[in-house]
Order: sequence, then C-alpha cells, then structure tokens
Amino acid sequence: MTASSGTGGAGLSRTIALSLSVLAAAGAFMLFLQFGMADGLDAMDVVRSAFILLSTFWLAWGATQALLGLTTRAKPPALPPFTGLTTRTAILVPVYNEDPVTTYSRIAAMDASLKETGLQNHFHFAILSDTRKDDIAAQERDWFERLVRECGAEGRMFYRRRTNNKGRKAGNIEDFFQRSGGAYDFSLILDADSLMEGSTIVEMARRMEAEPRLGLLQSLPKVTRARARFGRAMQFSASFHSPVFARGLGMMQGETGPFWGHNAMVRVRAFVESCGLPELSGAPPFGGHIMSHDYVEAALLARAGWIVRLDDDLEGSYEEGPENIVDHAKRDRRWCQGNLQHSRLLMAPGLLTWSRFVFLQGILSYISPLFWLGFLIASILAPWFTPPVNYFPVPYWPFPVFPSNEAWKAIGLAVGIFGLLFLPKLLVVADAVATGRARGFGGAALAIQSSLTELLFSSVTAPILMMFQTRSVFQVLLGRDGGWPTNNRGDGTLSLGEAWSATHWIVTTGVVGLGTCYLLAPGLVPWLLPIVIPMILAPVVVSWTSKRSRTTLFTAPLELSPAPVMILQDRILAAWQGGEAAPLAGSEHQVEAPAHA
Amino acid sequence: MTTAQSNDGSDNQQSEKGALPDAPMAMPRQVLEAPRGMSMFRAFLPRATRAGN
Repeated sequence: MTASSGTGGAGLSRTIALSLSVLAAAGAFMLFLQFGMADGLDAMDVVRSAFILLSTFWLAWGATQALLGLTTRAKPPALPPFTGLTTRTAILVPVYNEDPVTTYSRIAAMDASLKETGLQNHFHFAILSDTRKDDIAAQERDWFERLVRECGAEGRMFYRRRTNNKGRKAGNIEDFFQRSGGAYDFSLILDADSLMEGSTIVEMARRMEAEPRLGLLQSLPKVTRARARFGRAMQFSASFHSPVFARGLGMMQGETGPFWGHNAMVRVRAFVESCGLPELSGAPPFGGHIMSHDYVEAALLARAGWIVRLDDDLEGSYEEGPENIVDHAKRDRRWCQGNLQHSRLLMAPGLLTWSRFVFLQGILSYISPLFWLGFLIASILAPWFTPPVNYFPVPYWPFPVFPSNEAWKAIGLAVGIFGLLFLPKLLVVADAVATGRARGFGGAALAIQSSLTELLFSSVTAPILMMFQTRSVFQVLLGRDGGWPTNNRGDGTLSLGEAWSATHWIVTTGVVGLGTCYLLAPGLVPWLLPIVIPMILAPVVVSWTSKRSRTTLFTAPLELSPAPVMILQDRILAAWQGGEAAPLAGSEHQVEAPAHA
Repeated sequence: MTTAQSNDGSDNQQSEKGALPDAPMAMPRQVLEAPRGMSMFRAFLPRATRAGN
C-alpha cells in the first residue's frame, strides 16, 4: 500500500487527525483560561488563551500526522506483471543560473542508470534553461554538446534557453509543453539538484501506465550530500523522521495528494488540460505569477478529476538541501510568499475541500510562529491588565477568599505542549529501533544519539528560524516581493562576520525583548530564556552550524551506502572536473529515438 | 543553434540545441479567482450550504 489510501481511508484519517487536534486545542484553551482566571478574568487571559488554542491545534495537527504515519507501512501498489513500457516520457530539468557541470553530471548519471534498465529509449531529457547570466548560459551550451556526445544521446537530449523567463519555473515547464508536450505521454519534473535511479523512473512510468486516472505521481525524495552541521542535521531528520510524517500526510491526502514541484511524474494530457496557471490580478507578492505553483497544480489536477498520489514506497529519489540557516531562510522566504499568496486561491471555483484545506495548512505553517510571538507579547503585557485581587467577593462574608493556585494547570499545559513537540519524534525513534530501520542510521545506539541531538539542535535553531519566518511573513504582508533568487548549492560555510550581517537584527530583537520582559514582567524571564539566548547568539549559531560536520552523529543510510546513481554521478563529475571523459559505457553509441507509441 | 518564438505570443526568443520535438499543445488558462458570492463557509462546507463547488 502506498501512502495514499482510497478516499474512504483518507476520510477516516482526516477525521481522526482533526478530532484529536481540536480536542487537544480545546483542552489547552480551557486549561490556560482557568489558569488565567485564577486572579480574575481579564482581556489578556482571553487573548492568550486564543493564541494557545491556535498554536496547540497546529502542533497537534503535526503530531497526529506522525502518529498516523506509524500505523501503516509503505508497500507498492498491486500491479500487473511488467512486460515493458509502451509510453514515452520527457525528463524535464529546469535550470536557473546553476553550475552546468554538476547539473549535467546528474543527467549523465540518470541516463547511465536508465541504460542499465534497457529502457532508455522511452525517455528523453530536456534541459530547460531560464538562466539569466550569459557566461553561465554559454557554459550550459558548451557542456551540453559534451553531455550528448559522451552519453551517446543524440536525439534523446535537448537544451533550450528562454531569454524571457515569464512565469518562472512553472512558465518554463509550460513553455515546454506548449511546444513539445504532444510528443510525450508523461513528464518527469525534476529540479536542477534532483537525482533519480533509472529503475525508479521506469517504475514510475509503469505505475502511470497501470492507472489511467493517475494524473501525478509524487515520489518522496531523500536529502543527500549534506556536509555542513546544519545540512547534515536536516538530512538526518529528513531521512529519519520525514518518511513517517509524509506517510501520515499521504494517508490523509488520499487521492488528493501533494505535488512538491520536483521528483514527480505527470500525465502530460492531464497536466496540460488542467494546469495552465493564470497570472493573478494585482502586483506581487499577492498578485502576479503564482509562486508556489506545485500546490496549485495538484489542486487543479484533483479539481479536474485526476488522481494525485504520493507513493512513499518508491526508493531511489534524491535531492539536495540548503547547507546553512541563511540559505534555508532564503528558500523559506520564497515558499512563505508563495504559500501566503494561496490566500487568494482559497475560494477558487470548483476546488475540492481538501485542496482548500491544504492551502490553509500551507498558510498556517508560516503564520503559526506569529501565534507564539503574540502569546509572548500578550504575556509580557498581561500584568498591566490584571485587575486588583478582590479578597472579599461575597457580600457580608467576613473572611477573605484567597485566589486558588492554578499554577499546576500552566505546568500541565507546558508539559502537554512539549509532549506534542517531542513525543512524535521519540515514537519514531522507538519504531525505528523496534523495526530495525535504525540499522541504516549506524545502529540503534547511534540513531538514538542522533535523534536526541537533533532535538537539542532544532531547539537551538528553532527560535532563529522562527524569527526569519516572522520577518518573511511581515515582509509579504507589507507588500515586499522576494523575487526569484538563485539557489546556493554546494559549500555554504559562513564566517562569523557573514553570519552577523544576516542576523544582527535577530540579536537586537532578542536583547530588546529580554530587556522589556525584565522591566515589565520579570517573572517571565526564565520562561523566555530558551528562546532569547539562541536569538542573542544567532551569529555564532549560524556560523558554527554552517561549518563542515566531522562527527558520526546524524549518520544517514546514504552516507553509509551511497545509491548506485550517486556513485555514478560522483565518478562522472570527478572525471569532468579533472578534464577527462565521463566513465560511461558505450558513450559513442548513438541511440535512436523510438517512434511515439 | 536555432531561435524560435514562444507559443504564448510573446517575443520570447529562445536558443536551442538538439531539436525539441515539434508537437504543440494548447494549455488553457484556468480560472482561479473566486466567483461573486463565494464565501469561506461555502468554499469549505459546500454540502452544508448546497452551494456545490
């Protein structure tokens, strides 16, 4: 069984997740309200309880995803015996100011991996360049000739560059479909840093052939090749925790699954008929091109009646991630703008309710830190709103009535919130140890150590990431367009000076916040320290975490045993960087393109 | 190297290596703006409101 269960299963999963989340949120709301009311009800008690309600709902929603994900295992769908492919697939590699040598080494590796299946003639590669820098574009063209020659891929690999990158990545892909879509049944959409095993690509095409209603098949890419401390922590988390969370998400999404923009195969006819994105009225950030186009395309496919499915049993799908907090924040800024822009689409005609809810989830994922920030500010201001204690609330009663001590409720609530934060990850650890999955992470002992260290690591980096996220939200709300910055790939080491210039505003905010809290509500200072200390130390944290990791902690399975396609890419890249020909078998062999089935 | 014009009617000049298959497809623009009278309640609870989608 894949993560996407049928509509009925998804309905049950959604009901369970929603019920548990609402229950947890309501419980937290009541507990905090009772705690606040102990010395008399005031406006700030209600405001703070409301923030607790929203925050707890969001935390519980994430936790229930993990719990759901632990209830089943990834299995492939039932398929008829494989007798070969009858279709042709275009593998699309959009590039935007990327290093062509590294990008093309991935293409050469995927092509070599496809050749091992013997089905390479069913697949074409199209490099779709939106590169704006002429020197990089010149390299792209030069290296393309070498790529084709050494892969023996005349007629199977194409390169084209747009000089007008209208619609960004979505427009780039759309442009390809408008010119050449009719020549293909399916299209595998990649990112420049995507890497996939040939056998996985073939299996995806096989599944698309087997289910004619399947409009999009999303694989679960694993993060690879991280070297820095931050990158390796993220890579470990993505390998260790994400499959469980993604499985829970997939169970809830059912046939209205996700599209993450890459490492996914689409049925060309379905995509072309359903996913022509309009420009939204008005100026960016809320108008103009749709930035997070993948979520919208998934919703549009579902609106047109196509199945969108996450098959999390598919191995052999890889991507790379940001190596430091600043690069992560840059990418997050783009995603933030894209997700908040979806507020314009919540009431688009004909969308399935779940698709609308997915948009809402995406929006919540960015504005949820604001709930915590609101709670903190309201807590600092709360003493100013507290009414004087009335020790004689009962008329003519001669003895004073002291307010009941409800502190245990606040402590219980804090324990509950930490439970929602940490329990899912601890359960994933227990599951990994029990099922033997931990062996891939260097054994049970190392997996437990890595997981606990990751909890500590994320607790330190979370306030910094929360500040970046909060700034992004405010920038978007104030109408500032983040543009389309190039992704930094490769070594992302940051000096202390570079880290300072990126985070000095976080340090200032932390110092001012701590000072204000000390003046207005000194009792809250100890509660604030776990958030404020990482903020004040942000430059040190950002610089230190960007340095190369030299520990066995955060060991991921692909570090111990790299995938065959990764080894292929390493060899090709090393040969090219050393001025040699790529070590590819039959590189002079010319492969004829097949007649379209 | 060849140059070609984009199908969206713009003068999006392109450089190209290896001739991409010439098999154009029309990609109709989808309607995403909310229709008049649409509310959050109708959008999220279409059955309850009988508004349909």
